[in-house]
Amino acid sequence: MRGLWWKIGSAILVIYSVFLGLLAPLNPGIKTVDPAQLNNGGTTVIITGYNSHFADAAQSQQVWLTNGDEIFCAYEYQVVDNTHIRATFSIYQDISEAFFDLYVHNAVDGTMHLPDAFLQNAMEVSLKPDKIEPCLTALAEADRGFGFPNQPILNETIRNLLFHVPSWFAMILIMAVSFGYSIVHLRHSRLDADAAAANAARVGLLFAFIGLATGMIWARFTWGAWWVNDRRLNGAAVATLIYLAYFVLRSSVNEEQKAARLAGVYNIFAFVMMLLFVMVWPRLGADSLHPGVGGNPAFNQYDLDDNLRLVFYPAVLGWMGMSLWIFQLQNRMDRLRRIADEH
Amino acid sequence: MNIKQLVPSIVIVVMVSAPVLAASDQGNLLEETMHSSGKIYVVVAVVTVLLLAVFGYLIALDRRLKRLENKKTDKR
Repeated sequence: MRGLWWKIGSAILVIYSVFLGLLAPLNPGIKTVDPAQLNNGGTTVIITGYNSHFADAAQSQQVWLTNGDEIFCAYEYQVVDNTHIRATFSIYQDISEAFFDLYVHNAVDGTMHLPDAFLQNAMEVSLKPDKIEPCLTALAEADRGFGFPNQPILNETIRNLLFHVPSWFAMILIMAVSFGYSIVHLRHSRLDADAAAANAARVGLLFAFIGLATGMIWARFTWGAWWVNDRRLNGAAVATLIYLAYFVLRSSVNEEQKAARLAGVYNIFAFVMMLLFVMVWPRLGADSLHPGVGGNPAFNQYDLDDNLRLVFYPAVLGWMGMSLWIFQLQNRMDRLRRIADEH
Repeated sequence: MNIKQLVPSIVIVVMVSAPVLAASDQGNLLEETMHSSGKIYVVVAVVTVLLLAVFGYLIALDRRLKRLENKKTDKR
């Protein structure tokens, strides 16, 4: 059992994160509005909710819009069912911004918010809008139990945070292991350390490919494209290519000692470049679709949500453990192979 | 260490994600499925890719170990 505890531990953490990550409900939210434009005068729209309880909580329902500092209440609204409201907004005033934010509040769901829900159409946008009497609006969290935040566009895919991001964490950890073994090899000329560095980089590449593939699928159905020209994405791709080049370099030199030495030196360069391209360079850029650019790590947008954090950190730890475990298996296998070759 | 040994992990990930990539151009069925139920099927696809890639890597490792075992017993 010795040496097994951390493997069992990471397996438990991974199982926990997959289990809770897939089963915890998504908080109520506003999914879509139709049409997404408001005209000068009266406009009737259908508001579609997700996991919402519009009908159950019809008594405490409130629907309103904000535009800059101004608040516009629904002129009238009708609850169709738990996920649909038909609302009419009557707006004649000058407004200050092109987009309206939509709020729906009730006692069961709390306050649901859809930013930039409506585009103004044929209205006066002026710097000095008419003042409007604010209507009754309540912003409050309802006691809903455990659930993940319902973000516009992301919806259920926020769960991918628990599968896509930890693979990058695992990749960075295992590349650090590879970096460490390369230093050991260069200092003590130990060929087994060089082999370990190569094996670690192999496992790191597996997680890099997982990160790229899962990220592409996620991007396709939320941003609408497999790849967008974004520093975070391009940085990750460049980092992956740097490590692919590491293996090209290894296999291009025939002499074993020389190949190991060259690869060790290149690996140190590769690790530093990987950190620069994955951690530093994306944050120097301006606006990005990918969360975490221009701020700290990749989850500052969700930082406030304790429920997500409760699953995210164990997922990161668990997948880091899994990557070390796979690396260990790979390395033990490789050692056997080398011993077999010698005989 | 050979560049050939990298091939499995690349092949695994490509094989896993290729059906999704290919189907996306073939019309709206996949698009509709992926966007239904709050896009939960995107999560299903992502988890599937993740698990298949890890399992595929382990299977490749297992096969190489098997070959090693066979080689060893042959020598005896």
